[in-house]
Amino acid sequence: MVEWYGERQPPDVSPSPARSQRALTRLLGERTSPEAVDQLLREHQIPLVDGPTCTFLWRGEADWVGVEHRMPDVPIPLPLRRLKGTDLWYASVELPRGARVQYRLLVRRGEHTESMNDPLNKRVVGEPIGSQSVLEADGYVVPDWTRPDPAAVSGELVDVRLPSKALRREAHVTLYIPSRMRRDRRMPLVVVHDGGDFLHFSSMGTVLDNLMHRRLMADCVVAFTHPGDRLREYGAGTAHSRFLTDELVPNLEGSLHLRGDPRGRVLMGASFGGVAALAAAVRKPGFYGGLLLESPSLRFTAAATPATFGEVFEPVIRFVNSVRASPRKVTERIFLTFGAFEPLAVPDRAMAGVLERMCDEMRLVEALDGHNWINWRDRLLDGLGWLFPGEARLIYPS
Amino acid sequence: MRQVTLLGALEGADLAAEVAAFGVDGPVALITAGWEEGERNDAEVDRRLGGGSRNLNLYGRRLDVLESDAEYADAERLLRTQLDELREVYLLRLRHALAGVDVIRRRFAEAHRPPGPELDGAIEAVRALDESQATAIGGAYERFYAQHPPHERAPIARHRDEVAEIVSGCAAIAIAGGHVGVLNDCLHLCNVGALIEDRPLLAWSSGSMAISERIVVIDDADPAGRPDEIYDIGLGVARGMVALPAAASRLHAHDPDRLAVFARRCAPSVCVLFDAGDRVELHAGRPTDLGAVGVITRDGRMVRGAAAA
Repeated sequence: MVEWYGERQPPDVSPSPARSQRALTRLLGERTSPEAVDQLLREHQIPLVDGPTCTFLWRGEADWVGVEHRMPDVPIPLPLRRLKGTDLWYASVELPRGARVQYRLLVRRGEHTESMNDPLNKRVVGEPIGSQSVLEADGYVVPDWTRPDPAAVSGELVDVRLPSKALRREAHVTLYIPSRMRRDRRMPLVVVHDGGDFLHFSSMGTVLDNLMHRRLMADCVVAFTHPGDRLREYGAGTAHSRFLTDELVPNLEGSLHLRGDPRGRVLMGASFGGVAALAAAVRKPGFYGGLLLESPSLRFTAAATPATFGEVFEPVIRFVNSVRASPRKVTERIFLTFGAFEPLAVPDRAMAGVLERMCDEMRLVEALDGHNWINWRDRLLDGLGWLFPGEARLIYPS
Repeated sequence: MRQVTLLGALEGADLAAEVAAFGVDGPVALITAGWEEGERNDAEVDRRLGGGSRNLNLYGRRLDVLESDAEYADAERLLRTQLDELREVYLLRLRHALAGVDVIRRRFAEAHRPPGPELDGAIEAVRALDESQATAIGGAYERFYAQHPPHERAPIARHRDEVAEIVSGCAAIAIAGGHVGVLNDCLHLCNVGALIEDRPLLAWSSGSMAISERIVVIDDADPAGRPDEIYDIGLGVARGMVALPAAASRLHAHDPDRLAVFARRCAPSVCVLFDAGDRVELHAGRPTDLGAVGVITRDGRMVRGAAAA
């Protein structure tokens, strides 16, 4: 049984010059003086958000300006037009309510094109591959459980080193021990791929503190793993699967007060980390009770041409093709989420039916966001709250 | 005849006036076990009760039992695991059964036909699941208590005696809200059901749930998306009703179809919606005047002032 949340169809995103013109016209009062532009930029948050219409702006002299983004059905890059008589450039798109887009501006002067964050927009997020500007469409709200809550008692983060024969290196793992860890309670274990990035870019320590404090999820021990040669290890590599199943999980279950049964074991990962999680579960059916897959890079091909997406994807495509050829149950529950504004939305959407056959229950959340750490952060309540239901629903006013 | 008053919430309630209305003289035995670690943070409630209340400290007593009687603690953990597994399977089956009800209802709606016996049958299937879950929970408790008679365990017997002693010196009992599962466990462990046999009883929030026959949980904001469920068996002091505290915050979409199914699942009991300011008196254990609270009718409307079913 699949429960599908969010958009079943790709969201309707389209360039909308007419509406942007209306927004600009309204704001500028049909005057296009430098002072009017100054006033517009001073008084409004950029990009302009007027209902579903979002307008990117850039000011300055250039030969060409565009927006680098991942919105579907919008030209990439999206060119900006110069407002006549000014040095203000603009382009509008229509976004569904609650959408969130990360972007950069491209500014060409002569032969040189510069990629930059939007200088008119203070909302910038860090990513492992660099920072990006953020457009929050009408209705997007940063979940309050992503922000530090003084009332929530923080869990403890402990760095451990584990010699790994499978990986032929010392594995670095950061353990999150919840504040309510007690000797008389055995807790479930979540193993998170790209642990450092989840802690740093998705504030996952804060998220866990809050979700557990508010009992929106059950108390869990979380093992944040740090990759070595990431693309090789996470690209459906057998060594990494062996590390998880034969080394890391038994080691933690032997040293911490954990449940130690399939329902008490969940693998989580985003992008290539999602592939690694699925691969480990496929190689040991029944060992893991749940998977939390965020924008997993589940590329596949209809024909046997694995090189289509580049060398690093070859083992992934071989793995995904084999899974698609004969899907079988490997776990009890799979939570799958991806962003509508990312190229992986197409293969991930297509994989939903296959993943459904690999578990008893599946929940899918298609977010109005992209392939980024904030999207993956914002989906943590949906995923962790479903895989490890909390007791908040049993708690009534005093 | 025992006097029982149920309130929607502590907020805005005049607890002293409610106790005075019982016409008894003496301290109130206070139960705040649903507040868990905050159980003894009861100064405000004590003041609002008129002062001099005696907190039965049921949560603390339960912790003491689990710490001092390892064998019982292990057995209880096993019971919790069994109940968790029962609940998981029940919720899984319930989701599918409720999905079946939805499909049938939609088909009739699309065909512009009134729902017929097919819908009745689908709802009966859900009711059967609810009944089966209630029976299974009851059976698990029965087996547990038969294997581990609480009165034969020294720490439990001691705490029960102490609680009985305190209650014997009190004129009324007040049960606060909080975690309904923890509250219910504590009430059962200290055998409070037997102690409150003839004393006036004031309960609010999840306290009203715990003294009902069945504890039914609804929560539209549940991140896990769990359906409305029979969660546990209560003390059975309040009969013929399902107490639904914090209804305004827990029932988001007033979908008449969904509410109608819920009301039919609970029938013949009446679904009583409790929010701040709501109040019901029980006579012979049953609500006889529902004029001041909301109820869910069997056609899925949320109405106030309805006569008791």
